[in-house]
Amino acid sequence: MAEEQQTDQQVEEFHPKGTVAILVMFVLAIIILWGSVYLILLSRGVTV
Amino acid sequence: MATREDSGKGTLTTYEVTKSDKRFIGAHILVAVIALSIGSLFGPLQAFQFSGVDLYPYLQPVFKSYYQGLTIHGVLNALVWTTFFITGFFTLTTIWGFKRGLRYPTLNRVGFWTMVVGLVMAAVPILLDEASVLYTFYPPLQANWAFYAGLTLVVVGSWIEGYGFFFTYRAWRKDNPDTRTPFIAFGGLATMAMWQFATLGIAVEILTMLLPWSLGLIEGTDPQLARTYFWFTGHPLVYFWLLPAYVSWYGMLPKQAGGKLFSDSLARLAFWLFILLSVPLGFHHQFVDPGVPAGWKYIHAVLTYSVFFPSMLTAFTVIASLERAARNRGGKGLIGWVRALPWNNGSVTAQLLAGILFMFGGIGGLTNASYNVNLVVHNTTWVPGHFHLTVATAVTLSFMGISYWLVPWITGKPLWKPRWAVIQAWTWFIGMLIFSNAMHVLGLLGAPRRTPLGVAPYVPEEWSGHLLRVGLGGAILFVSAVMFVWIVAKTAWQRERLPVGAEVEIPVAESMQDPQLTPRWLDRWVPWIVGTILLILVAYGPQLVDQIANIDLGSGQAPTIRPW
Repeated sequence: MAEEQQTDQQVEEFHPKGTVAILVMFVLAIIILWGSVYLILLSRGVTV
Repeated sequence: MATREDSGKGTLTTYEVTKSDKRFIGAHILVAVIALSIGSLFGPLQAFQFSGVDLYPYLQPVFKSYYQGLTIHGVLNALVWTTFFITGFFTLTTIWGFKRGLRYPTLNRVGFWTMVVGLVMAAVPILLDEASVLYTFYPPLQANWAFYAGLTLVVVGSWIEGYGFFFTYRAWRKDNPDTRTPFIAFGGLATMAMWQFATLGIAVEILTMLLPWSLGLIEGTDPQLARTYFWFTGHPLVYFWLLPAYVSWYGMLPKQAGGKLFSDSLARLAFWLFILLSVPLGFHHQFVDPGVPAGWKYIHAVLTYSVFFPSMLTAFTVIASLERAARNRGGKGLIGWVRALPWNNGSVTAQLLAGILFMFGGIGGLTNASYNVNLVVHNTTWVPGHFHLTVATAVTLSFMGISYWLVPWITGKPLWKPRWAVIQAWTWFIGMLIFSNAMHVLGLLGAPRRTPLGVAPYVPEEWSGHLLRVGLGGAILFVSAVMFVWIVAKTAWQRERLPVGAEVEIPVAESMQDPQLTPRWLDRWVPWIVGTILLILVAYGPQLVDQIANIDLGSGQAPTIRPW
């Protein structure tokens, strides 16, 4: 019990909401830019 | 002089770095900056050449060709600047992390001088235009034997320096059996351990094929096997460059920004995963190689994407650490806290901007690793556009940022014109944004890499605007590189010294969570090292056996090409 209390004191509470928002934007940027490369290449037609 | 303070658990809490240690670290940084200075002279020459301004004829007879310049640029900036900076920086993180001197300082000095001898040995044939084979030195392009021997010595020297860190760790561990390895020291050790595995490929390539071939002891070489050996080392080489920047981003930047490391556990887990996953994925550089079966390319492609996981761990942990720092400084809003970071600090700004551009480097890397996209862009300017965002920005701009506190710490002198350091970081950011974007777009348009496009007769009109942007970006980057070297040199050579009591502090971030609460399995080497060896054996073993069994070192395999 005493050990648990000590553990709680040693861990600071912090919720990085802004970080999650930035990473969501990053994942969206990945999808958009990656997808756009496929679209650019597909727009040139297929190579047989 | 070292001082020792024992906390009662065998843990040293203070350590005064000796002048000798500082001089040793400074020697690494000096060689690194000299290499960057010379290598950077050739960057704009390549970029201007793209935009139709070919300055190489004016450099005759000293420098003979675009390819000689590209080799100097690549070898000095990608291999020498990085390796010397990294080993110097890790000397500091080892000493300061463990709060003790190197266990065998002579060993590390032997390693350093081995690297210096290797550098000189490789530089001579490069400067004589007898090794214009670029920093990837693919056979059948053949360089003078001294080039290969010199690069071997640079790698061996870095191994020896790594052994020095490992012996220091062993001595520390003996005194501290139950203490978690201090993070900045752990990061250096993990990187050097990964490097030991990674460089086996290039060591075997040079010692069994390129060196005997260049000495005329064997008739020919096997380009396919050589490329497999090279990329065994070549991709983890990227992590050898990146992980020291991560040590700073995780373990130092939060302190500089006024905060703490968000999670010691996540930081260590990311490093272990990079050790595990960095090596067994080199075939994603060989998607266009006909000698590698498609199944193995697929396996390496999957492993390549698995590196996305520790990369995202890094992004999350570093950004969360910065968010916490910014909110401590009064930052508000979901994203607005970014403005509260200390953007007036050149060291911080350089590393923040390096991280921002690295996110785009990651997107380009993921895209490039897609098999079908890679078939289109592999031999185009997309690839140098990508690695200028990684090694030339995430790594180089971070190292520049680290230099802005490291050089004042080594010399005991204040940073010369700190405002200039901020401007230097922004000029690098802007120059690279223009340069790399143009290179990526040109790659999608089919512009070949490793090609002096300024004299190519086949350049279509739609490339011309982008080629001009390459030249413009290169010019801005050159100005920025000159500013960096100038700031660092003026800092080191000025007469003004920091007053007593105002010495530069080495920024080591505390963790929000007591590192002793980090699970023990994240501080144990054996399972991770065994896992790494097994994964390498599975991912590379069968193909290496097959390619070695079919090796042909006769002259019929590939004609020797001496490109000068």
